[in-house]
Order: sequence, then C-alpha cells, then structure tokens
Amino acid sequence: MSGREFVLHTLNGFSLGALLFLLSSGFQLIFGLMRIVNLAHGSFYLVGGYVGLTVLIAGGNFWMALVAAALAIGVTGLIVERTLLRRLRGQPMPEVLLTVGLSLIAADLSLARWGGDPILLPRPELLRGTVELGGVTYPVFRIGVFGLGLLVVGLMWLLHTRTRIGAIVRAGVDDREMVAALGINVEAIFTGAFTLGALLAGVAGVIGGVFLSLYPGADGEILLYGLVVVILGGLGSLPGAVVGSLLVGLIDAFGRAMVPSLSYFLLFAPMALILIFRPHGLFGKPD
Amino acid sequence: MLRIHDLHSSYGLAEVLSGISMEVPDGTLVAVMGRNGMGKTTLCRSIMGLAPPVVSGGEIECNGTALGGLPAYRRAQLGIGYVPQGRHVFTSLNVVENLTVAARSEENGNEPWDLDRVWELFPRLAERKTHRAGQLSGGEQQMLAIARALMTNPGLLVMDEPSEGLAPVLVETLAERLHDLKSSALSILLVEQNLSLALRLADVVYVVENGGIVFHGTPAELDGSEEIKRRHLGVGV
Repeated sequence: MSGREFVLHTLNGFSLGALLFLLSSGFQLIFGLMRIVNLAHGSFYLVGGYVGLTVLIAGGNFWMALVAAALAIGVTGLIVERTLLRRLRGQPMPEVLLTVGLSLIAADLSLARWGGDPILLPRPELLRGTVELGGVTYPVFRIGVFGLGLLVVGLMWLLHTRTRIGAIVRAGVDDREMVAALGINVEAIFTGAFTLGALLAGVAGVIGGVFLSLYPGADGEILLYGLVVVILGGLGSLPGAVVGSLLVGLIDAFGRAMVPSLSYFLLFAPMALILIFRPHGLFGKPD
Repeated sequence: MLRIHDLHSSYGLAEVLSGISMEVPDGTLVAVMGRNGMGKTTLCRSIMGLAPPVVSGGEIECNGTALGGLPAYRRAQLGIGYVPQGRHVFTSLNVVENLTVAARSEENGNEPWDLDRVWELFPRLAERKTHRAGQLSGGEQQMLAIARALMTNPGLLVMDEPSEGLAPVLVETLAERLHDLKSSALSILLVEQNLSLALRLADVVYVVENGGIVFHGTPAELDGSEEIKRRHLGVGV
C-alpha cells in the first residue's frame, strides 16, 4: 500500500467513523440507560434521510434539509417513547418486538413513497469542492462530516461531564433504580435521551444520504454497524462510542480497499472476539 | 413521620411481608431486626416504592401523605432518604458528583445539607472528593451512600443494613455518625443485624420473623428477653 492510499483510507475511515458516531452515540445512550435495543434506530436514520430529500425536492437547501430531518425524527422519537415504549417499560422482549415492528412499517412506507432505487443526495454548495491532503485530492464534504462529528463529540462530552443532567445520565447507566430513589424522575431523563438519540439519527440520515445514498435496506445495514460500534465500545460510555465508531470506520475503509471479499469478516471478527473475551466492551463496565 | 399499617408484600407468588404495622415517630430512631430472609429488605423496598416486590395490601403514610401507588421518585421527594443494602453508590461518578446528583433543597425545618456539612460529618470523604466511587473502600462507600441520601435533605432516613461487611472499627465510626444524625432531629428507620449497634442507638426496636412482627419494645426490653434474642435473632445459641 502506498503512502497516498494509506492517507486516503484513513480519511475515509475517519469520515465514516464520524457518521457512525452521529448514529450510534444515541443508540448506545438509549441502550445503556434504558436497556432498550432500539432496532428502529436504523429506520430513524433512513427516514431522516428521506425527510431531507423531501425538503431538497421542495426547493430547500442542504442545511434546511438537515434541520428538518433533525426536528422530524426528534419529534418522532419523542412520540414513540411517550406513547408506545413507555407502556412496555421493563419488558425487554415486547420492547424489542415493538421496535422491530416499527422498523418494518417504516421500511414498507418508505418503499411505497420513495421507491426502491438508490438516491444520492447532492452535497451542499458550501462543501462542494476538493482539497489536497497528504498528496490526496479529497472531497471537502467528507472533511466537513468529520468536523461535524468532532463538534457533536465535543457537545456531548460537555453535556456528559459538565452538567447535572449529564451526571444524572451517567448515574442512570450505573444504577437506574437508585437514581429514582433519590427523587429524580428517571422517566423524563429517558424521554430526553431517546429524543436526542432519534434527532441525531435523523441528522445522520441526511449526511448518509450524501455519502452512502438512500435505498431500501440502508436502515438495516447502518443499524448493523451501529450494533458493532456499541459492542466494541461498551454500553452507555461516550468514549466507547467515539473509539468504537472510529474503529469500525477504519476497519471498514481499509477492509474494503485491501481485502474486499473479507470486509464483513474483518468487521465482525473483532466483534466476536470482544464478545468472547470482554463482553462489556472496551469502555463499558461489567454488569 | 412514618406509619405502616397491615403491609403485605410479595415476590411473585411468595408473600414475604404478611401484615406488618409499625411507626417511626418524628425525631426517633427505630430499629428493625431479624435474621436473613425475614423480609427486612422487602420492607425497605416497599416503603421506597421499588419493584419487585409488589405491595398487595396495607398502607404506608409519610407525614400524613399516603404513599400507595406513588413512584419511587415521588416518595423520595416527600422527604424519604434511602441508603440501600449493598450501598449502590454510582461507581463511575466521583464522590462530589455522587453527592451533587442527589442534592435537592427541601424546607423541612432541619438544618440544610450541603457539601461542607457532609465533609464535616465524614472528613474521610473530603479527602477522596475527586476519586471515583468505584475505587472507594467498603466503609467509604457506606459513608458516601449515607451522605448521598442526606443531600436530598430528607426528614426520614431509611437505612438497610449499613453495617454489613464493615470492619468492627468502621462499625464503631458508623455508630458515632448515626448518633450525630439522630441528635439532628432526623427520623431514622434502621434495618440491622448487628444487635449491639441497634440496642445502642434505637429508641424502639421491632423484630421481624417470617414477614410478621414478633416483638416490639424498647432496647432494654429486648436486651432483657433472652427468649426473643435466642429464637428470633439467633443470639447465644
């Protein structure tokens, strides 16, 4: 592998990692805090992308599409949590089945509305060019995605470590029952976390629409990546989500380039090893 | 402060509490004793509204408010501070965070709790401020669990076996601290297996056996009753 190829795959890995972080930071927060495996999280992503597409078709620009997707999916998440998931609290199997059902409904409605062809969203005007980086000509948009990922990591980190809400969330990951026994309304925290997670998935959908395109099945594929991130990084751990996302992004980029026929193997083999030797993930805590 | 009337509580089909009635008058320390598996923790969890168990009958009142059906966080807001068995500190948070997460101001006529007052009561915690709770010793975690409950400014403290697993010298420190708390007008429900600790601190002692109350009286009366101590507490066998 030449030095230029190495730089290219590294940049690809980092930008995909940033996209995965947007998706999985919410997914793992919901998983860690509420112990819900939200299998509709991939649908939040894909439908978010389609909401963005609708705004673009209606004449809006990329940024309007991004904000619309964030709001639409955030509100969807809020409604799903308040009206459906809340009724099933503490029953893991019904919770999972509900999210599977929602993802099937979302997939069919999306197919009916937007068809089965892959749709690539246009890059925003502002981020259309390319730059020279380490001898590689690289799209500015992907650098921008990495920048957005860093920004969201920074904001999440501040929220996590510098605010009382963040401390309550971390305490909730440690021991939900004890948080409630101190007089804190954990349900309200759950709703907030679920809404934030959905909102970020909607944002990720619009960005993913530019860089991976939107098509039926993209929801399941991205969910699978999200699951690998959570298993590698660990439940309810922000550093885990960061490191897990970058690892998966880099493994995917280098794997596809060097041994394309084994790229899924390279992704799932580390996951299997982690599950065998460190089931709580790199940064998670044993239960 | 706390009144419990004919409380029934069960895990699945097994009834663990079958008709418990007791009272914690304002400003007193009431000890609940009994061997393992007799329903002491079930009693604490039923008071806090934590499930399981399921409360199937009876009434719990705190300051005249019926607690039946209220979620745990509402009960805590009514002024019940909970120190669970096994401490359950937030292991990934540091000492200060454990306390500030819990902090809530409450106007109940008692002197309010803040970090400075906690450091005064437990100087050892002040030295460990920035340590993660998971790195503390068992004794320090117990102090932290008590301090965390105090930060909610409760009128009643429900403590489930605070001396469990502590070295004798730490049990002595714990007894002194509980004595300090008792003289600060706080009401305390202390579930204990350590007879000498309970006898020393309590105003009233209840003994539970198989989910019912088999003795209720002063520490002196309990100490005088070899029969109760032998049969229900396994002392002197």
